[in-house]
Amino acid sequence: MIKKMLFHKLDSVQLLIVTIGVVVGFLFLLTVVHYFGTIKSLASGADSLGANLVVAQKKVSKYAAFDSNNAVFTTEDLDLLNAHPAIQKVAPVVNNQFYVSLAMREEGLPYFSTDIFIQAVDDDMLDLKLEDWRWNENSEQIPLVMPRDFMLMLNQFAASYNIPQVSEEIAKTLNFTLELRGEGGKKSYKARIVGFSNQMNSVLVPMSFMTFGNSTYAANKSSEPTLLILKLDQKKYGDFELLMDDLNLEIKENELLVVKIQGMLYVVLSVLFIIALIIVLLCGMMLAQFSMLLVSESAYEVQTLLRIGYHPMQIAAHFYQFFLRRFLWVLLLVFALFAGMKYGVDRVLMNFGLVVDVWPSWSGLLLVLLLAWLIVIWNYRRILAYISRN
Amino acid sequence: MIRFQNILPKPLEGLQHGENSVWERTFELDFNNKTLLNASSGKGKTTFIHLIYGLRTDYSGQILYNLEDIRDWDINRWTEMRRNVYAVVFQDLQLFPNLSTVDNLRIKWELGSDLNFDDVLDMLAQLGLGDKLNQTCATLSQGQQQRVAIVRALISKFQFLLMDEPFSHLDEENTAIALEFILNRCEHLNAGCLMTTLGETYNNKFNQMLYL
Repeated sequence: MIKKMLFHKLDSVQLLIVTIGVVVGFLFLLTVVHYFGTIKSLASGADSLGANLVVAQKKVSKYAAFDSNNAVFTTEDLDLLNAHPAIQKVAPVVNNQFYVSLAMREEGLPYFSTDIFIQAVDDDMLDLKLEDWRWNENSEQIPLVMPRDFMLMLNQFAASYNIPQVSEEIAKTLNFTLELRGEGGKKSYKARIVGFSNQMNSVLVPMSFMTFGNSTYAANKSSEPTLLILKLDQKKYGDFELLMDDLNLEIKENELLVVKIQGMLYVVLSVLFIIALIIVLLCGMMLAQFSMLLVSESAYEVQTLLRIGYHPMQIAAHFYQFFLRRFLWVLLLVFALFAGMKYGVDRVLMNFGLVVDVWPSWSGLLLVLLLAWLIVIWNYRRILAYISRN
Repeated sequence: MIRFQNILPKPLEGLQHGENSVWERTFELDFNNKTLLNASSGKGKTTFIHLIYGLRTDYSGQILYNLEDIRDWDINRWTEMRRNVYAVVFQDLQLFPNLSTVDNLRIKWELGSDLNFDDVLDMLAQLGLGDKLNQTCATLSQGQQQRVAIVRALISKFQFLLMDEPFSHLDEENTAIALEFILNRCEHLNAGCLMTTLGETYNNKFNQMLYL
């Protein structure tokens, strides 16, 4: 009854225009945030090494190929890299200086053994839970991060024995043995896989284990770093390229390309994100103007309700419910449109061989819900203030 | 009880007021009294009602309700007063023209009443509007609208009823019926009332007389 009275002057065309504006704004915002998240997950999600990391070594020319010192990073090199604004962190990659072999003894599976090369990097360069990566001399097992190529090798091995293929999750449950040999003798340790990496070609072990292994089994107790792991600032990858030339560094070309593309996409999506936020803000203001117009067109009814004993909150609640209900429909429409659009875009990406997460980004959905809620509340408070002034 | 202390609305400043005028005087309005406010047009009858009801604050002096200055009240306090203490018949009636007679009454009834809604409709029927229940108020005559406004004012469990020339468009017979209703309802609720008039005395059914 009151609702009918308050909304009898509602202009459906104006409401439709405002609704379309809000739908477009939120759809744009949701799309940008979702693909922002998708690109981020492509950059870091499946790799146990953290995001924006590259492994660098010195270029070896044919004239210097036999000079081992030429490949070593000096203290000056490290200082220069540490001070460079494009580099957030520099850490040496430490190599084993003893013999290591990896074996798998599982009941029902053929015995598998291979000599391997292990390396260690600072713990904070890894995207792993610290408790999974901790090792000391009392630990029962050594945690390992394997190169993804290892899975290929393991499955080729499995195929040759006609046993089922092993997934990454299953591989993490297998029991391995690391056998260490060197000056200090020979000993076996239990090991298990805790993660995988695309960027490293060697098996990664905790730095504490590498220090223990090198001090216990290696003949030569100290070594100069020949490989570095660098955490880059994506926004300054151009500066980093110049530095690479100056220091005669080389990294995997595809690693830098990925960083470059990510950096560009981040910039583009950041601009689009700001535009989307501005559109949503404008939609919120448009809605506020529409609401004020609606309330002022019912000024006589509002005033009379107040005069016969209605509280401003009771009257404003009708406007709140009206806009809340419409916003819920708008959000449903936005989510449906987004789902349809995402389905189409994902199919195109699949044609290019890119498989992305099938679920929409939760951060995008939550941001849209939060902004919608804020707009509805802000609008309600404006209406309440306007009515209370009557 | 309301106490008026030297009240004078700003638009009436500088004008001459009679010796027995309520303006610029200190007096009390007892909620047990039935008061008639008598004045010719343009003397501020509607203004007086609006001052009590909190619709105007452009005055000098003080209006005290149980020793509280009503100018200090916020919207919550006014809502409580308009819902539980006062009932009012405005001179311009303040009905909802696009709603039916029934809906106009139901809107007030839904705020709370000691009457059930059938009693309200019965009151309306006794005032000769039993066949106008579903007619929008905009299509009723001025006299019919006035009766709807009177019934609406009588719905709540008020302590003091304010009426601004409530019978200006009613004939003698309907005036007598409406007045009887009003006085009976006040009696039933042990409430008082204040009615503005252009000079009628209504057979001395009011026990206090004020002038502007």
